[in-house]
Amino acid sequence: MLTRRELIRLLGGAAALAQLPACGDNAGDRVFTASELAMLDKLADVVIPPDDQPGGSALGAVAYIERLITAFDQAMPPIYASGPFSDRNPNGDGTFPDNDFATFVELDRVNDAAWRLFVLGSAGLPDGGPNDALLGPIASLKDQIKQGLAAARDIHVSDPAELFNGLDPDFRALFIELVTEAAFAAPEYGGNPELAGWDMIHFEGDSQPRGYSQWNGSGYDERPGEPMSTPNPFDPEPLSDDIHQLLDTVVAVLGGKSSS
Amino acid sequence: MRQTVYGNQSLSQFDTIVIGSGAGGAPVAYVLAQNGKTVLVIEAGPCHLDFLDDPTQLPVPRFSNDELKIEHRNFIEMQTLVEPRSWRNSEADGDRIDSLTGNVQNLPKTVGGGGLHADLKMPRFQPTDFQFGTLLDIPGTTFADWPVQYDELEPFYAWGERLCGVQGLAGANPFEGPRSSPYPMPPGNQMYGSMRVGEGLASLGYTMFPYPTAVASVPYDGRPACNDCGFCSGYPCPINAKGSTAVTMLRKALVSGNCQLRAETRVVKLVPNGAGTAIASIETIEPDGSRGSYTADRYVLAASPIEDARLLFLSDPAGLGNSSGLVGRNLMFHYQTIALGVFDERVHGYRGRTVDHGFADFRGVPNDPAHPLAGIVEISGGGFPIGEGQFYKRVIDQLRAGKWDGPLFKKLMRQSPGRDRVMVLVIQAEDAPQSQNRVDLDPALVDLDGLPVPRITYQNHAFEVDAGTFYEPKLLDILLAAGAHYAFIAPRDPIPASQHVMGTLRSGSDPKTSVCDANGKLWDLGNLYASDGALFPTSSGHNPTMTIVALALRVGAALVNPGSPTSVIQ
Repeated sequence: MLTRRELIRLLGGAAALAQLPACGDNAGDRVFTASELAMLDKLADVVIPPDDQPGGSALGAVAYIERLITAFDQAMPPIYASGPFSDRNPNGDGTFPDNDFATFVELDRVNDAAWRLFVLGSAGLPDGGPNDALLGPIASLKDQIKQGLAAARDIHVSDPAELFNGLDPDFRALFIELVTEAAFAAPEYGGNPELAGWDMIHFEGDSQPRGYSQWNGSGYDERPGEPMSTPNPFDPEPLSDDIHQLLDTVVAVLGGKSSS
Repeated sequence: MRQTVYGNQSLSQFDTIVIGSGAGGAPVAYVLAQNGKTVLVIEAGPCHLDFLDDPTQLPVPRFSNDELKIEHRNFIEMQTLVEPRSWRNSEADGDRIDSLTGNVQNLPKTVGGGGLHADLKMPRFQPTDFQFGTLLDIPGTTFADWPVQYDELEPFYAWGERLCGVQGLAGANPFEGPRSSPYPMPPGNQMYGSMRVGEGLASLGYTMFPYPTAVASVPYDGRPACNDCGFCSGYPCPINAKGSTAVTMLRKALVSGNCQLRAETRVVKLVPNGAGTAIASIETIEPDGSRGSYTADRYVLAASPIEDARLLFLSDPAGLGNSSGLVGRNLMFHYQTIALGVFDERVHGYRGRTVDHGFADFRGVPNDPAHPLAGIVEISGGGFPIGEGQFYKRVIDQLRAGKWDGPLFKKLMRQSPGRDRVMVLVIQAEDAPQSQNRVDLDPALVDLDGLPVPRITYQNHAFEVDAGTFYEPKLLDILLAAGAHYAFIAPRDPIPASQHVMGTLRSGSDPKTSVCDANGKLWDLGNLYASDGALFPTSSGHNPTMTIVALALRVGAALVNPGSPTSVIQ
């Protein structure tokens, strides 16, 4: 039986390494404890509550966050999915391209340092961040999340939304950002399972290599169900009365105009 | 081993070193290489165009329809944590405004530069745009005539349009200057949202036209036609349909055999000769962090107005080539007024080239209070979901006093009033040049390599603020006439959002009032040139890329034939 290293050598080194789970990665050696995972799921469902469509937890928030926090445990950190195409849209001849998103771009010197600083904090670089002396050291993403979770554990309220709104605003902003990214980024980053996030918001996601309008030699062909130059055939979820009211408020606050 | 050297790797002697591979650098490299000169292009960022120097195939981009990667993880842009810039409105703010030490006017740092991220809207400037020193007299500003006028630049505009492949319709913009040739390609397929806005414009007597863009509407010069994937503004092209100077001019330079490109290589110092009359060599930080040095007969700055000025200050604390005292000064950004129209129907503005039409009725007329000088207006679609979510977070923060409202957030995402139902009007308005708006070195903040970062000191003049205020209600009227249910002006960020960066090494006819001459040469140094937006004495009210390309082609042509640059045009 080949060892993992031997397999990597046979398959061509680093590119293959990126496809394999790193030793000690994921189950059995997770970043978060069971209680922390439960809290993460609970808070993710505050950011995007489940209803007839999935919530933040089911949209992969925890997997996304863990993948980012453990990025530098892997030989090819999964920071930038490669390109140009995923395998979700056909070529002009009806065949499907390989999924380039499934491999990740090797980081150059500057990006490597920047992402180590973001993910691992000042401790991730031998000399810390370049401006730590002026601005203070940078905390690791893992520590930021764990500190937020610890604070959440100390708030004793039954309503998860009330719990979330009792947390530090910086943590809430970070967490909302991460859950939003998990839900609506390409699934190769760890969230948006089965494209559930995109489906929920009626968004087609990446469109290459088909695009929305293809030159045919004399004009342009468009997708019948997702036109570019004509109206949509139907609206899957029109504006509701309460969103109209919200928009009236936004317009009033900003000094805009309304046709109503 | 990652590839960082492209083109003719055997070259070691160079006629010219070009610092920067974007819209200001690539045209110079192209002209020189095509005319038998050896060129070294040095680019601080990585190359994400595999096979860029392969004559047998088009480049294979690592770019993709990936919002997280491109917009939120800065795949092609500078990284705030290790490459910050500092900001202040004036010297009264002290060393900097501490909370704003992030991506100030962040242009891509990658092979291809800013030309990659743009949707390559490439209108020309108007003839009068080059004459505001003569035409305007506004206290507190430094409007100046350009040393090169429209008539002289026009053949280079036409050349640049052919090389990049610009689609458009000659005569459709009633305010456009005279043209010697039609656009190389017809306009592409039109987006539904811009048709709706066009109805509103027509009802109010304004003239919409297809936006000149370097995007192939039909197969062009070996590149495919655009398939309107939607990920255009802010996104580098995954299929080479955008005619960025990287996949057109830089690629041709590299396959000529006369050009070498070194990516991930930072120029950190220009070293003058003993007399201080010319550049003798440059010092670099190589891809692995080691130090390097290169020499050539001539050197060209094309690293963006901010980085050009920074390099001159890194090379000499007083500013190399700074006898005028103007290095870094007269920094300009376009003053953007942004109006959003929310329609009841889904206008799906994310399907298409982001901006395919515009109008120029708000460019204005010099010294006419009824038509103040502002700029061309882009008709743009909405964005993508992660950014949409961030927008809703700001709305919820305001409406719920900082408390999160998950059900409202989800409902907004599903009904999408801020993306799928939005059309946007953006004025790219003239920004008055001011001497105190400038780039220098921050006294304390440093980058990953311990070098001082650029500090931007900038505040707006009443010239552009008043013009923006004048046109705001007219933008709202257009959107409502187009059928929008709601229309409002986007609140301005403390730091201008425009990535149109101009000035800092302004060109002119007098060494006392300019840094560079008409051919881009620094007055003070015999072999140092600039070829990017740093040369602009004024900002115009049009997207700058076409004029950067035309000027850079002219700088390259003047290096080949100083007496007759026009004779070099192919």
